[in-house]
Amino acid sequence: MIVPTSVPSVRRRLLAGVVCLAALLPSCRLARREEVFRETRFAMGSLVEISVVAHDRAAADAHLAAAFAEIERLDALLGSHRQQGDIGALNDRGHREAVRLSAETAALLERARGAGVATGGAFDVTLGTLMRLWDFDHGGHVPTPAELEDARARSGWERLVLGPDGSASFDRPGVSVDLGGIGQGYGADCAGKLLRSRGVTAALINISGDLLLWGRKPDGSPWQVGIQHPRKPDQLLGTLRVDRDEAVVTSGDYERSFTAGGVTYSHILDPGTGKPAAHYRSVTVVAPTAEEADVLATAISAMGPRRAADYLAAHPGIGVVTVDAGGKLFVSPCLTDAFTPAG
Amino acid sequence: MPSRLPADRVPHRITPADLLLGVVLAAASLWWWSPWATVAPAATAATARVTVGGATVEEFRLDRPGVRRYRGPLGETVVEVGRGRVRIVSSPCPNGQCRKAGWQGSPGAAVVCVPNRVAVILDGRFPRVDAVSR
Repeated sequence: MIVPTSVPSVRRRLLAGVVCLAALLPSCRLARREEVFRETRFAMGSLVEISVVAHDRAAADAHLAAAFAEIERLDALLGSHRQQGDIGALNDRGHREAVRLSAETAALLERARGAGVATGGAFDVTLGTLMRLWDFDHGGHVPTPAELEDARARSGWERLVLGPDGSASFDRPGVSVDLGGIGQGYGADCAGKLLRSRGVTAALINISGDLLLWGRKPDGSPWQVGIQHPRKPDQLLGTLRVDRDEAVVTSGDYERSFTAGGVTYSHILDPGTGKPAAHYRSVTVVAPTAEEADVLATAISAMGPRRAADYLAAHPGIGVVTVDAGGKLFVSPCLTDAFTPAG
Repeated sequence: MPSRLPADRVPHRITPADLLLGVVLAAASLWWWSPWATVAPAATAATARVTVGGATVEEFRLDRPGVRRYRGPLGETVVEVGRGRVRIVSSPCPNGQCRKAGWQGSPGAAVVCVPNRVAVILDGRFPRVDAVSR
């Protein structure tokens, strides 16, 4: 074997240095590369998927576990199906006594009632009795006029009495709170707030299609959101580029519907009539918070085009993509650059 | 004992092979640092990820039609796979909403039977969308 005895030349040292540096660069890149980590669980009565942008799996797992713990906490606190939950207790005893709520639940109900006032009653957190009457979750039931009239008398945001001490009650028997148009949005906001407090700079929270997004993907591009086509289940209506930290929530007549006597009944009830609203096939709202987007997607669906136009004119920060009952697409001027209709 | 090479025979010039190695390594490093390194497509076939109770139980490609069955807490959910799309054809849920959802084919979309805790989430290595609002 031949072993060189002289010192390599300067050029050879230089080349060796370049080669070593070049070999090390990828490892530097690996150390700083971000990835999207995600986890899926069932919570809040639906499928929840959270994606976070992080440098490594361990950090992402810790963030995801914390976010899901927050959602599960809210599920237990607000769940109407659990007697120990605030809403369950209110629905159970609120007609005969003032039920003491957690400060968080009381504040949420206060905002929900405020949304009822702000939307002229188009959003109503007390539709629990009407929703049970229509029975969308068990195949559906078309109520008789008498049933409908009775249930309507037991709904309306005025039926909910909030006390200054954080208690709540109903002004008559048979009233029931349903957080369907606000709870998931609030859950996404709470999980988002927690993730931000942990230093997560980009994430996507998806609670049954209610989306809260912030930051950018690891390649620097913005999140891209598809909007479900209301009549073609396997197609998108279009895509929405999310350039800012925003929430995107869609309310569609195709979800939780049932057909009876040749008529399809949507789960989106018009609080004014107690019947399914039929103004839109779908309403997508883009707003700063998921709670606001959730509330408005429901409220605008019940408002109808004329009242919705008036409301949106007074709230220019809210963007909508709607498909009316006749299939006509409308996109708010503030979203025309971000929205791309499906080809 | 290894023999020693005389000093005047020590190779000290950069050979073409040395140069080629350096260029290749430098190019590879520059590529690694470039923004395209994270977005270059390596696979285009859409896939589906199946979760039961939140735990991922299977991932499969959507280019192989067939029927798949998953057992949840209420019983069996039957999923039909078409070319690039999926649907739930039967599930032991009381409302049947998962069946009514029909075919789903967009990356980011999902067919879900909430009562039976079965979800089929459509995915792709480079999906057109990150999530679907519905």
